[in-house]
Amino acid sequence: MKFPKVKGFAISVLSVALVSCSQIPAWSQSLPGERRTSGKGVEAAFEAQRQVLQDSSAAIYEGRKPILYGAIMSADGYILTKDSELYNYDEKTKAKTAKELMIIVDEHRYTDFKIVARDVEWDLALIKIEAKGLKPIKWAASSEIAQGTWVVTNGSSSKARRRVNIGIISANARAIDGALPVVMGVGLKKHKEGVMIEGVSAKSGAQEAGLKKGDIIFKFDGLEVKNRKAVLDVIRTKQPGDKVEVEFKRDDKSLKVEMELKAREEAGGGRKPKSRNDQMSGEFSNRRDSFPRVLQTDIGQNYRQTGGPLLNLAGEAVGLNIARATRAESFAVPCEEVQQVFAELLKGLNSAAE
Amino acid sequence: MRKRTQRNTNVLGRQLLVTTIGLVTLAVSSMTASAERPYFNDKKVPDAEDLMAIQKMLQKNLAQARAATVCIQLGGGSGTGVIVSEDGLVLTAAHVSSGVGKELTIVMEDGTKHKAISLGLHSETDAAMVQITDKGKYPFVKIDDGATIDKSSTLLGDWVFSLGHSGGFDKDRGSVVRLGRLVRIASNTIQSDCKLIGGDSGGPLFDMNGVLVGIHSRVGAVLDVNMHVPTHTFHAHWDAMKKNEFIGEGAFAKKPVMGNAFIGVAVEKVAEGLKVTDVDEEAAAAKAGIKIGDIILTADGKKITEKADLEMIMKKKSDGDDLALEILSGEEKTELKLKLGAR
Repeated sequence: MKFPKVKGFAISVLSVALVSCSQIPAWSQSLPGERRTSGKGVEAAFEAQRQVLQDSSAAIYEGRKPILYGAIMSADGYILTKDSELYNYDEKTKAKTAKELMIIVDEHRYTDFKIVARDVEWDLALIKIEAKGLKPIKWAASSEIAQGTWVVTNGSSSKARRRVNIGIISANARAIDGALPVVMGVGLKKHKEGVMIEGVSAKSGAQEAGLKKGDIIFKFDGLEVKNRKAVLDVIRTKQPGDKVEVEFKRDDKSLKVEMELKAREEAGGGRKPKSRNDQMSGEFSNRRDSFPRVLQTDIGQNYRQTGGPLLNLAGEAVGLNIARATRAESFAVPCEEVQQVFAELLKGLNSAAE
Repeated sequence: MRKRTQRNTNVLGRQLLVTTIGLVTLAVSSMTASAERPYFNDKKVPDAEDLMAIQKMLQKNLAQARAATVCIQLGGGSGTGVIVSEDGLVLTAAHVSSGVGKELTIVMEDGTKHKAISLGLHSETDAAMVQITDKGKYPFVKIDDGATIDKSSTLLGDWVFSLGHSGGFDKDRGSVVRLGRLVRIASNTIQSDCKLIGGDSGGPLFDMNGVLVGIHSRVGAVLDVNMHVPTHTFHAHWDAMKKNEFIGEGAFAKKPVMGNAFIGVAVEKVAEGLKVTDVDEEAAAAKAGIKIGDIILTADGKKITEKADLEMIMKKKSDGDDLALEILSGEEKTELKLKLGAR
């Protein structure tokens, strides 16, 4: 079916989506910018929450630009933030490197830091700076809060001063489905002897391991695999950087390689084509799906403003701001899960140290 | 992608300049927040107490507002609407209902579906009505009864909230609520900084009492450009829309053109009716499964013996209309419903 066009924009079943419009006719009344929801006047009403962000959030700078925020988890300098924004991927060397960053808490600058642990399921990274006497964020007793509740997170920052970004809880908490965050970087189809590789992505672990189109995988990480789901079920339990043994047939010969699994965005995989709603949203987070549970807010942030705590009016964190999904939807990891992930990451570090 | 959006928006921008002449000029005034008028507009900026009051009013009125907010599904797309009477009258945007007399599906917040039909629309302001045709008592919201822009109870700077089925119905998520302020007011458009996105179109904008003040229409590139059709625009055309009138020649809905619909077959006369000799793979007939060799026996219940019989029926059809055909395919008679497209 062809859709009729009316002077440049389609009126069709698909355009039930909102029609875009940036030019505005001569209006009779307009509210000054500072009085708007994102304006400085309204911001001023959130001074108490801003002070919490000043003390207990981290601003993460790449050069002169703040690119991410974080939540102070301990007085001695553990900070949780959004993992997938922390890395650069080098096309030439095919290497993933941590970005050159500077971390600012209040007005104190820290250039010496380590990314000490990651949780790929929740897209959280644990950073350690050498510090003493920081004020950790206070977590709310529960993330079960009514829709329409005010929430506050980090807005744009200067090196001296944190600012707020405000909104409300805007929909039911729920899981956000999406592609697996860890990938081998191949297309797979069923084959009578296992699963056949249909194609290999450039930059993927599969390509580096020498896997090719037509190879038939019959064992994956020591398990016999008969279908695609069996392979994905193994990948689901892995972290980026984990290595798996892949046994496969090529020209009737059985071969074995070790292959590294990579985060989806490192493997050059990644973004689905932009939907109509994406096109009207501006930039959004690299990773904005595949979360077991999130709170949804209407905070109209920039995609470089994620990672910080999500505060209620009492200044307690109900979550950690994890993604800008569209112009009208942002997600946060609920406070229970943030604390659980933090405890597990710390436990992992301690057991590794022993 | 950004470039294309810009181009589209410029075109619409020009359209809007044409369609919004005759603006009403109002004095900017502030009123005191009170039990009768809790719009929190008495101070230039809110304080901590106001924030709590805004949150309390929003949470108090959200449940009823949400119960009356519906997803409108038609064809492959969806928008939003809001029920304004117990017998199921729905207000929405003209670019959602997209025409008069269209069969639609209404989805309530809990996922219950109802049949509905589009009534009239105002194509220049993006206002439209839909009637739920399943008999029942429906949850509904009050409409701001101001008949003109200066009689409307909401003022510039008032806090408002929006609901919408962004991106389509999602039962786990529910409809999405957003909070903002009225940031611009003109005669047939109001603008808020409640952030909207595709699928919200036709959804409701409420004042803090949960009274309907606007219907979502369109957005700009920046976050605080979200346009709504004010309710007084609906009042101005209320009776005509209820009488199924297609008003205006505006950008938001296109009047059906009689005879522009297209089945997409070539036929020849045979003893039983008209035999299909060729099929346009892109058109309605092919999509309904009609193949070369099939014989058309009836159309909309009328027996077809000559090409002229079918042409007579098609003269009254327009793009988007349905056509019922009875087909002889080999030995088998089947009834098909075609959704006609434009030539």
